[in-house]
Parts: sequence; C-alpha cells; structure tokens
Amino acid sequence: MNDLAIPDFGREIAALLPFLIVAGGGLLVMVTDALVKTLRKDHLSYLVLLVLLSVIVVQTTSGTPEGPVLNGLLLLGNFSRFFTYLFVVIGVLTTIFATGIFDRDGNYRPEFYPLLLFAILGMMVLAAANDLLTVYLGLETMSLATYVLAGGVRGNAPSSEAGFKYLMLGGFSSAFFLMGVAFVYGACGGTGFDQIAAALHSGSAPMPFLTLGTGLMLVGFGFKVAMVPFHMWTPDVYDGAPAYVTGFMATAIKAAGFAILLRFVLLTEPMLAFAWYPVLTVLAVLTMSLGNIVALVQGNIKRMLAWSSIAHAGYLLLGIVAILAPALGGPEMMARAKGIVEEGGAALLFYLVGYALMNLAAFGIINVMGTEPGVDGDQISRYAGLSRRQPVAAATLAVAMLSLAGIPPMVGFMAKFYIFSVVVKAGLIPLAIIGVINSLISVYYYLRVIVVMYMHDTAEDSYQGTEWVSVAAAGLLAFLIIYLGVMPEAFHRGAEIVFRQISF
Amino acid sequence: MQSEILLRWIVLVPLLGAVVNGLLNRRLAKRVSGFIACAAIGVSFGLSVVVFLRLTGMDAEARVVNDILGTWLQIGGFHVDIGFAMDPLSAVMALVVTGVGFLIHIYSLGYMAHDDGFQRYFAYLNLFVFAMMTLVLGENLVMLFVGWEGVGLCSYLLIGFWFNDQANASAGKKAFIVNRIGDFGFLIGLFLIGANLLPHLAPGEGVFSFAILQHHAHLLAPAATGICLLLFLGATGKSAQIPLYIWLPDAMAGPTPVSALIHAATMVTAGVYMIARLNFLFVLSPTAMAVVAAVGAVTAIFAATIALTQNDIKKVLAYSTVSQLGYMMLACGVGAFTVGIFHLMTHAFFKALLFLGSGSVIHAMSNEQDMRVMGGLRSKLPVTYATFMTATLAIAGVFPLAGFFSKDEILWKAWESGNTVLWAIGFLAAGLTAFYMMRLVVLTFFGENRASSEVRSHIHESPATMTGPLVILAVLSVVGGWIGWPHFMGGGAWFENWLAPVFAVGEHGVAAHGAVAHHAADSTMEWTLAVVSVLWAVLGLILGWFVYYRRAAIADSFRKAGGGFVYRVLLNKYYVDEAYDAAFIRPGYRFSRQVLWKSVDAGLIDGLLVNGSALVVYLLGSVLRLFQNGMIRFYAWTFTIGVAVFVLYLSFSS
Amino acid sequence: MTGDLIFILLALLTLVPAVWVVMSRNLVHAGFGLLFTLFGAAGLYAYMGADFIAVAQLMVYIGGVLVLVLFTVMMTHVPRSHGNHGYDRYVPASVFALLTFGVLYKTITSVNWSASTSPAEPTIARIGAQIMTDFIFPFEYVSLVLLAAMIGAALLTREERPAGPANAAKDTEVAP
Repeated sequence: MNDLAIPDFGREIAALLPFLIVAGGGLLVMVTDALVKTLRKDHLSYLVLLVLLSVIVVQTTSGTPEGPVLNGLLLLGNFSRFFTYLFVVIGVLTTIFATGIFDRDGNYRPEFYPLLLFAILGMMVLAAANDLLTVYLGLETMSLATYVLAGGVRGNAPSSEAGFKYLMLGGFSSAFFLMGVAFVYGACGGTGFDQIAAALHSGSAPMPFLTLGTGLMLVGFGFKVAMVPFHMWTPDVYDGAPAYVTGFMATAIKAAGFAILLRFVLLTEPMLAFAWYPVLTVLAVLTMSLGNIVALVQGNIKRMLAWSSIAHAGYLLLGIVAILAPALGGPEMMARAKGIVEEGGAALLFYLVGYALMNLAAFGIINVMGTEPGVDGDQISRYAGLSRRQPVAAATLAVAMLSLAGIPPMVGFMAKFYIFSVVVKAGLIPLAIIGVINSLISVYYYLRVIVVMYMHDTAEDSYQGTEWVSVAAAGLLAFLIIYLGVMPEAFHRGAEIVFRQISF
Repeated sequence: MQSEILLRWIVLVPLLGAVVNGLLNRRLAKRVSGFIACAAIGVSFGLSVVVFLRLTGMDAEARVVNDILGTWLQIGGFHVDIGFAMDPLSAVMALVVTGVGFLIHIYSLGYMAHDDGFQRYFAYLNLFVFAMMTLVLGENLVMLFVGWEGVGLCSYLLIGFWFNDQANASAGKKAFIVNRIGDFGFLIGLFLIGANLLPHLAPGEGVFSFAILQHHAHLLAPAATGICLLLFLGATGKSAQIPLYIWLPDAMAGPTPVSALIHAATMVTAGVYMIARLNFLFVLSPTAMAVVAAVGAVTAIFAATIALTQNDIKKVLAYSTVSQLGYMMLACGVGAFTVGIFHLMTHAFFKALLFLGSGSVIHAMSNEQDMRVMGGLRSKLPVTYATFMTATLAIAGVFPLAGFFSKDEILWKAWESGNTVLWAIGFLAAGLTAFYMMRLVVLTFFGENRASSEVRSHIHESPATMTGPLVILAVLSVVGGWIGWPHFMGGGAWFENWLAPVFAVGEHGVAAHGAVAHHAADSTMEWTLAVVSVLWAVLGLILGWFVYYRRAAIADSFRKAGGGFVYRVLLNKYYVDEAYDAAFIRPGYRFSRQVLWKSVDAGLIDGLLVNGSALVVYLLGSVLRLFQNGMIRFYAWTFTIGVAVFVLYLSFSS
Repeated sequence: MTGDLIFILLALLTLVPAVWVVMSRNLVHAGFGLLFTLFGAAGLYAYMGADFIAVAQLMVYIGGVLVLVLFTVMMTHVPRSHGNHGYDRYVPASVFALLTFGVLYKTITSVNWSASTSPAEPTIARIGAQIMTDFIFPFEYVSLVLLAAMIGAALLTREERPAGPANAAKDTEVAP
C-alpha cells in the first residue's frame, strides 16, 4: 500500500476528467464573477451550462476507463456514469430555472453557480464512491453546498430558517454517520468497500459492530433521502428554500442518497439482510404512509410536494426491501435472487429518473409562479384558473401531477409499476398492497392541483406574467414524462444493463 | 389472427380531437371546435363499422383482428404489449360507444351552445371517448386498466364541469373516492393474476393478454374466487352496484349529455364489459358468479324502489340506470354473458335517449329539474315527448321494442338457471321499472303545467341538433332489439350467434359446472314467461298512469299509506347517505370542532370535510402535521428517538 | 499498576468536568469545563499510543473549536442562562445517555479483544506518507469542501448593501 508509484497516471486523469471539469468549472465561474466587472446577470449561467454540457460531451465521446481508480477510492463504470448524466441534466435544468427568475425576485446572487457545481461534484463523487472516506467527502460537499443554496436568499427569513435547520440537522445526521463509519472501520479493518466485502465474506468481522455501524450509517443516508423518522426537516426546508433549489434538492439529493444506499445495501446484503430487512420494511411503510397522509392536508404546493417526496422515498425504499428479501428466503428464493436483485436495481434507477423528470417539471412551473415579491406565491389557491392564463404551464404542471400520482400513461405509473412488480416477485404481496393503497390515497391531493388549475376561476392576486425559457424547459420535461411512460422499455433495459455491472 | 392497422386510428382520432380542442381552446370558434369534436367521433365510428364489416366476412371462430403497436413492458419473463384487438364482443362495444357517442356529440352542439366552456367541454368529451375506446379495444388487461383509469378521470373532470357549483365539486369528489375503492380491488386482482400466472408462462407471452389469459385460465382455478371477487369489487365501483353505487346519482350534477354518455350509456357499463371479457375466469368460480348474480339482482330491485319516489327527473333516471346495470350483472352472474351484453346495448340506446330527452325538457324549462313543477309539456315539446315515450315503452319491456328482448332474455336465463328467487326479484323490479317510468312521463308531460308563468313563457322545442339525435335513438330503441329476436319466436337470435365464439368457453363452463338444470328447449315455458312479463310491464304502466294521472288522489293516499313511513324511507333513499353521514361524517366533524379547531386551519377542514371516507385519513393527516411544529429542537429529539429505537433493535437482533 | 492509575486519572479528568458542563448555569463555566474534558480525552488518546489523534484533538478542539465557543458566548453577552434551566429535560436526556452507554457497552464487550503486544510506534510519519500517497485524492478534495463552506460563509455574512454600480467593486473585495 505504501509504495509511491502511481499506476498509469494518464489513465487516472482520463477517468477523472468529468470530475475535474466540474471542479475546475466551479472555480472558473467563481473567479470570473470576481474578476470580470462587466458581466450581465445571465452571463455566468452560460458558463455553467457550458461546463455541464462539456461534462456530457467528454463522458459520452471519450471512452472513459472503467474500474477502480485512485487506489480504489472511486469505482467508475456504467453506474457512476449513469448518475453523472442524471446529476448534470438536473443541474442544467436548475440553472435554467434559477437564471430565469433572478431578474424578477431581486435576489440575484452569483455564488449560486459555483455552489451548484460543487454540489453536483459531491453527488458525482458519492455515486462513484468505493470507500467510506469518499462517501463521507461526497456527502459533505453535497450537503454544505445545498445548506447554503437553501438558506442563501438574503433578507428572506423563511430561506434563512430553512438553511439553518438543514445545517443543524444535517450536522446531527453526519455525526451519527461518522460514528457508524468508525464502527465499520473497527470491525473490518479498512474503509474500502473491497476490504469491507472481504471482511464480510471471511466472517472475521464482529457482527454486533457491523450491525451497529451500518445501522448508524443508514441513519445518515436516511436523513438525506427523507426517510421517516429522519424526515422532519423536509417540509420546512423545501418550503423555505427558493423553488429552483427545492427542485434540485428533491431530485438530485434523493438520487444521490439512493445511489449510495443502493451500493451499500448490495455490499452488505449477504450478511446483514437479516438485521436490515425488518427495519427497512417498517420504515418504508411508515415513510410512504406518513408522507401521503400529511400531504393530503397541505395548502401550500411546496409543502405538499415535500411530503410527497417523503412518500416517494417510501416507494423507493420498497424497492430496496425487495432487493434484501431474497437473501432471507429459502433455497427456492435464492434461485430467483439474482433476477430479483437485478430487476429491483433497474426499477430503482428507472424510478429515480422518472421522479427527477416529474419533480423538475413541477418545480419549474412553481418557480415561475411563485416569484412575485411580497406574495405567498405557493398557495395552491393561487393556481386557480391557470389553465386559462397560461395553458402551457398549466398543462405541464398537470402532466407532472398525474405522473406523480402514478396515473398511466405517465412515467410515474411505469416507475411504480416496475417497483411494485419486483416487490410482488419477491413474494412481498402485503407490502405491494400497502403501496397500492398509498398511491391511491396520493391521487387525491395531486388531482386537487389540477382541479384548481382547470376548474376554479382565476383568483384576484394571481400572477399574470410568465418566463418562457423555464416554461419551455418544463414543457419538454412533460413531453419526456409522457414519452417514457409510453415507451419505457428501451430505457428500462438500459437501466438493467447499468445495474448489472454493479450487482455481481 | 389478422392484423388491422385501422384499429389504432379508431382509438387515436378522438385523442387528436381532444388535443386540438384542448390546446387551441378559445382560439377556436365554437363552430369549428364542435365540428372537430364531432368529426373525430364520426371518423372513429366509421372506422369501427369498416373493421366490423371485415369481421363479418371472416369465419366465426377466427373473428379477431389485432393491431400491436409495440412492447410496452418487458421485465424478465413479464411482457405487456401496447396493442388493440377487436373480436365480436369489442366490436359491439366499439359500435355502441362511438355510435351513441357520436349522437351525443351532435346533441351537445345544441345543448352547450351558450356555455362558456364549450371548447373545453368538447375536449373532455373527446378525451373520454379515447379512454373508453382504449378500455374496449385494449388487447390486454393492463390496457383495459389504463382505459378504466382514463374514463374515471374524464368522468371526474366532467362532473365538476360547472366548477363554480359546490355541489358539483363534492359530487366529483364522491365519485372519485368511491371509484378509488373499486380500483383498489381491480389492481390487487391484477397483481394476483400476475403472481399466479407468471411462473407458468413461456418467455415472451404477454401475461395479461386476453388470448393468453383465456388459454391458461385453468392455471388460475385455485385462486379464481379471490381474483374474481376483487375484480368484481372494481366492477361494482365503475358500474355502480351495491355497495359502491352511491356516487352515480350524485354524478348527475354534471351536464345532461355527459350523464347520457358517461353515466348511462358507456362508462358505467365498463364493469359489465370487464366481467364479460373475463368470462372464462369468472366461470371458474361458482362462488364469485353467485355473488355477481346476487349483487346484481339486489341492486336492480333496490335502486328501482328508490326511483319510485325521486322528484328530480335526472335522479329518477340515475337510479333507473343503477337498476338496469343490476340486470346486466344478474345476467352475467347466471352465466348469460351474451344477454348481459345484449341488454347493455339496448340500454345504451333507450337510456341515452331518456337522458337526452330529459336534457331537452330541462333546457325548455330554464334548467328546472324538479318534476313537481313540470307537467303538460306534451303539446309544447312534441318531438321530445314522442321519443321519450318510445324510450319509456322500451325500458318497460313492451313488445316489440328493444328493451323487451333483452330484459325478457335476462329473466328467462335467470329462470333457466334454476334460481327462482333471482327470477322473482328481477320480475318484480321489471314491474317497478314500468311504474316509475310512467310516473315520470305523467308528471313531466301530462296534466297542467305547474311552472311559474315566467318559465312557462320560455318553453320551446329544442333545435334540430338536439331533436335529430333523439329521433335516431328512438328508432334504435324500437328496432335495436330485433337483432336478438329469439329462436322460440321464430327469430334468428343473430346477436347470440355473433357473440357465441367469445362466450363459448364461459357459457359452456357454467353448464359444465352442473349448476344449470337444462330445460331442453322448453319453448312453452319461454312463451309463457314472455307473455307474463309483457303483461306485467303493461300492468305497471297502466298502474302508473292511473295513480299519477287519472287519480291524483290515489297517489296521495299511496304516499300516506303506512303512516307515510314507507314513502319517506324510499324518498330518502333508504337513508343510506344519512347513515354514512351519522356514522362517519358527523362524529368526525364534532371531533374536529372540539379538538382540532384551534390548531388546524378551519377553512381547510371545512373545504374537505364533505368526504366521508377520506375523513379518517384527513384527520390523521391534520393531527400528524401538528408534529411539524417548526421547532428545530423538537426535530432533533425526534431524530434522536428514531436513532435510539433503531440502534436498540439492531443491537438486540444480532 | 501505574498504567491503571494514569488511566483512572485521565478518565476522571474527562468525566468530572463533563458533569460540570451539563450542570452549570454559567455558560462561561460550562465552556471551561469542556476545556478539561477535551484535554482529558486527548490524554486518553495519547495514553493509548494514538499520538496523532491526541495532537489533533488538542489543536482542533482546544485550540480552535473551544476558543470559538468561548468567544461567541462572551461576545453575545449571555454568560448566565435564566429562568427554566431545562431540568425537565434531564430525564429524557439521561435515558438516552444511559441507553447509548448500554448499547455501546454491550457491543464492545461482545467481541473478544486481543491486546496488542507490539509496542506503540509514532504514527504521524506514516499518516503523513499515506495522505500524500494513497489518500491524496481526499486530501486535495477536502480543499474544495472547505472552499464551498467559505463561499457559503461569505454569502451568508456579507453585509447587505444597496445595489448599484458604485458598490460593485467593493463587493468583490469582500468576496473570497
């Protein structure tokens, strides 16, 4: 371990190129802002888009090396690449949404752009992490940047409150996470995933340490994906943060959290399924039920979507439970285990993408709608009659809501369908039934938004303007939502291929 | 199995119409918008006829064409196509839906002419036909479910169409919640089919495809009762059967043509269609069949008695619809799927006609729906009166109108199944039907007009766009039943032969179960029953005539009979709504006022309280949200307790 | 024997001030109590041969964090907390603390630990070498994390100025 020879420097650099571009891009944006005095407000956003697009170009065109790099600290492959694409696309949309309203809400802040890039960098590191150390670093980069993004609207009390709460509770969860890491390190004698896997296989690691350690780490992940009972921050932070940041948090952070959770579950599954399975089953049910039930009584669309995001975390956890289930079953189950794990993983990836599409579409519209200074723009009642004032925006939001509700032929239906069918296949029919009941309850509050938009008369103080670029971007997402709902096959097969590489 | 590319256009053309109308909305002139909508349905109907004619040219056993657009889902061995198929059963449904739908579109041109939301209305109406055709022509159960959800959504949108009306919004909600309960049963049934069938299928076989399902139905036999009952729960929601019928009468809050199209002629028959479509599955479970028959029969009589006393013209027709749907279920339950579908078709004709006629009446009466202030409209609305009277005779089952053939067949099949109680219930309900329909006609069209002079001065016959469809439907209500002219009367029973290939397995299955004591071609009995039931219907009509026209006093004494108790119970729909109210809504309301009033936004609760079954969930949510108090220290405590429980569990599980 | 005595003294040095921290009504006193506790912990690390951690503990916690805490307490002028001292929260807090202790105790004693026989070596050089070789990526990467934190701190604490071209230059002076 201690020899100073670095194996194939060129390969490592090539492999890390996407990461370097994002990191360098963040610095570049920051320096440009500081040094160039003649910038118009939207110039920085073009730079950010350029950086993000070049990540896509580089990752697509250059055959990036696969496998472990940097002494096994990162593991590159289809899985990390898949999530890089996802984060970058979310970043592009967030940039568009944010830039679109900076003129209007009077809260232009150039620091937004580098922080966004750093957050994306953290997520990319997280999805590629192959060592607890990199997991922690990725987690903290992502978190620190989003604390500030959420709380960074100066002179806006809800935003400051949101940032502060997120910071405090986030620090709290990090402490538990680190303690878990310490236990796992103590048990396995190393922080690398390979070392942990080896220790688990040889059976040399003391079990109580492992269960406790991984349990505490799960607390950290659970906080990030808004799992009950670590969800309390979600509604307040989603509500207080500006809508474009909320959209980013709801989609990218959730995806990053589930990416690492998925890796971690697969890593420890053979040994620890017996301890995790019951816990996660109960938490999945609690998470989706609580999310849906409380979402029913929300009058503020951002809070409603916050609770809905908790509920969706519950559906996603169902997928994780389904992956864990075969490890517990008898020999008959073990024979089907590989298939279930693969399908479960693919279903989760598909769900994360679908969820990102529909939530971004929704928050894109909410962002446009809620930016009139001095008005509580996020009350659902303010959307009354939107279908007549802004038919495209209303249709987009309607598609997003239908998709979130899981009504065919939107992508949300397919995503739930994949997850539930894996759950059924894993023999967990009661869980599938609870999931179905939950999604039926949820239809109610999503459709309420549509009813208000299409069937109520325009409210007095409704916002009359619009922001065409954001609406067009959200409209494109709505198109994708329908497209992926009708033609999910090719994409789902892609997700299976992506997942197969990680799941051996 | 032949492929037929026209099928997709039958479904997609209405969608195109909906998209054009929905997106351009007010930018379209009303005339253009109406033309697009009607043309879309017209094309769809035309294509249906073309494909239908192709089917007739094929061998009876091979009468299926399909149109697979592509693979929708492919997970492991699990495979679902996006595709459409038309066999004799779906051909009948397609013709009824697009045909009657087309007439109702035309009618709506006149009825909605002065409405602000004209374009939006037609967009929804086209969207509905699209969803309904997906339901009918879907090649597999998942497609059927997609359509099923789609029609539910459109129904919800159209009930709430006049959105400024609080009653409409709450009726929409009621329909919504009740249908969720039904859908839940449907979905779980779907899951069970998948879970039971998947392990036995070869890869690439579409598990939910009807052809595959039918082929492998025997594999589902052990779980058939559970699956069928769950699917039937779905059907009771959509087809308004006991106990989920309560939404349909309230749904009449929507515009009248919508009531005609969705809540009478097409959507509500989806449950019957689904059961008929899956006949091979239902016959595997005699228990489920018995439940279907019993629920159908009880619903038929239950709703008919309520219809006796309603004063709102549309409410009478609504309960009448529930009752007639009960007949269809009864037919399916005794294994006579053909007859169920036959009645579905004739009912679509005369019930659509009745609703459109009542729309014409309401239109003339300046939106008055209470029959107590109508009367004497016969001379003022001659066309409406004549067509309405035809439909009344048809639904009552007078020979040789359409209703006679289908209703008589149902009663005969019930008799034939050996269960005389079912027959007796059906028979009794048939008499009641004739009676309340006559009451409706008398109160509306005969006697003195009881409206205010102001309203009276505005009474006029409807425009040709409205009366035209009425006349066509009246003709269909007369001749529509002739295609099922039964053997014992020397007819060809053409309808039965047409559907025979679809139900060969199903109806044979019932016979094989031995539950049926076959009265071998007992045409004497058949004759007797037919004559008796016609006489019974005529008796009902005459009685209605006497009670409500000749001797208004009798009606009064009828009302007072038994201290008025019976009448009041019926008038108040057996107090079912009140019972729900007392059992669920009132206590919850009191709880919220005394316990939650200060802490929870009262306006929000008020706005949502109307829902009985949503209430529990809602209150739970209101209580749970109190935990979201914004105090960071409290959040941290929750977090800590969560960790403690979590860690304790893990530490003791190892 | 001497070893045990040293351990017990260090443990007392950690625990007794810790109790003081919890019980004291004076925030400044509590801060100083924390100083001794952290010092005791550093001693325990050193006693176990973890020289690097001991030094880091001294430098980071005592030299950095604690000084910051004391400054904050003194500058915000709330040396003494008033009114309800939160004794009502002692019960749940004690329960949680005991629970944590119980779980940790059970977990740690459930493993058969073999005492290390080799004498403790200085670890600082090895850690340094590791950081510059195997763990060079985290080492470099942390600078980005800190940069993000700095940007955030600057954004949140920067004084609000009326917008205008005249102030644009000043803004960039303050920004990192």
